[in-house]
Amino acid sequence: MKILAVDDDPVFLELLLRTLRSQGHADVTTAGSAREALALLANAQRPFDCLLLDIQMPEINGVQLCQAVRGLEVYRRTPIVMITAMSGKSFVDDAFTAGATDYITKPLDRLELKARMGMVARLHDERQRMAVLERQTAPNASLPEFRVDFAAPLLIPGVDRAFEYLALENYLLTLGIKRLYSVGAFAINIENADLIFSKTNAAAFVNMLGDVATAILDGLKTEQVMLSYAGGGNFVILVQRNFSIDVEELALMIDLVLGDFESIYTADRIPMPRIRIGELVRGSIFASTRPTRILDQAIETAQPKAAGKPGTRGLAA
Amino acid sequence: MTPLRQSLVPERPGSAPREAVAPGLAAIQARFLELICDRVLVFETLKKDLEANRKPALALTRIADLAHKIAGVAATLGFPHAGELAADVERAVRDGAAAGMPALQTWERVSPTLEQFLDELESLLDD
Repeated sequence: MKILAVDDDPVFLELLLRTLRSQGHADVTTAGSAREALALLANAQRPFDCLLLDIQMPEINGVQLCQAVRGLEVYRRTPIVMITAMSGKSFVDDAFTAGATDYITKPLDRLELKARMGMVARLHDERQRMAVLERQTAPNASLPEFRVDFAAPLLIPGVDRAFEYLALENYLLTLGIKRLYSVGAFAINIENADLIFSKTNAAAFVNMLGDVATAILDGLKTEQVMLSYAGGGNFVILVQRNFSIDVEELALMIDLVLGDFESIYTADRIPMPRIRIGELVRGSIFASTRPTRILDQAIETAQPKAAGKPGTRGLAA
Repeated sequence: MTPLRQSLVPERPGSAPREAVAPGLAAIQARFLELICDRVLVFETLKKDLEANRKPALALTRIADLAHKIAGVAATLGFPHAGELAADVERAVRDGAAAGMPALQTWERVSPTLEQFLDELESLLDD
C-alpha cells in the first residue's frame, strides 16, 4: 500500500514512518506541509492508496487539505486518516465532514495505528472493487463479473455526499458515548429492495441506490447530514441532535425526485423503489452499549414487518 | 473498530526522568531533545513578548502550536510527564481563545503551567 503521511513536525513524521515500517508498510512518503503534500499528489505517477494527515498545520490545515484532496477525482475515495492531539468534537466533525475516513489521536499508539491501518487495507481493497464497479456501470460498459452482496454496505458511486458506512461507524466511535448525545440517526428503508435486487443486475441495482440517495439528500434540504448505505436496502442518515423530520414531507419530496426517473424504470422493467422512513433515534450519554448502536436502532425502526434478505447475486443474471 | 490503547512506552504519571525506549527510537529521541533545546529558547522569547505585552495573542498561539508538537510525541519517546504538561499548556491556551478571553488574561492562567512545563523540559535536557 502506497502511503502519504503529512505533518509539520519532523519528529512525529520520523516516529510515524518508523512505526509504519515496523508494521510492514514499506512504501511511505512524508510531507512537511499541505502544499508539499498537494505537490506530491499532483506529481505522483501512481496514486497514493492512503493518506495520514495531521490536523493542525500552519497555512493550510489538515481539514482543509482533506477537502482539497477529496476534490481531486483520483482521491475521491482514498482512505484518509486524520491524526492529531486534538479530539474536541468540532475537530472530529470538521474532519469527517471534509471527507476523512477515520481519526486517531496523538500520542501515537502502535496497536491502535496497526488496527486502523488494517481497516484502511480492507477499505483499499473494497475501493478497488468499487472502481471496477464504476467502470462497469458506466454507459457502454462491457459485461462485468462484478457481484453485489445485498446485505453488505456499499459506497454509492457518483453521490458526492454519501459516506462509507465504516466512516460513519468510525465517526460515532470517535465521538464516544460521552459526546453521542449531540447526534441523532434515522434510516430509510427501500421496502422492495429485495424485489429490485432479484429483477435487475448489480449495476442497475447500484444505480437505483444512487437515485434514492440523491432523492433523500435533495429532500432533506440541509447539508448538515451524513448519509450512508448500510446494505439490505437501508440508508442511514446521521444528523445533529436538534434535527427534526417531517416524515410526510420528506417522503413526498423523495417520491417527487424519484418520479423523474419513473419512465426509465418502466422502460427497463425495474420496479420503482418504495421508501419507508424510520424514527429519529437520538444518542444518549446513559447508553452503556457501543456508540454505533444508534445506527442499528435507526435501521430497526425503518424495517417493514417481515424483511427478507436474499443472498449475493451477480450482474449477468 | 475496537479502541486500542497501548503506548510504545509504559505510562508513569508524574515522572520526570527519561524512560527507556526501544532501540530504534533512540535516534528519534535524540533528535527530539535537540529540538527541545531550540524550543525552550523560543518559549522563553514568547514569554518575554507576553510579559512586555508585545502581540500577546500571536505569542499565545505560537506557544500553543509548539506545545501541540511536543504533546504529540513526548509520551511515545519516553517523556510522558512532559507530554501531559504540553497538552495542559495547549488546552489552556485554546480554551481561553474559545471562551473569548483577552490574551493577557489567558496568559495569567497559562503562565504557571508553562513554567512547570519549561522546568520539566529543562530537566530532560539536564539528564
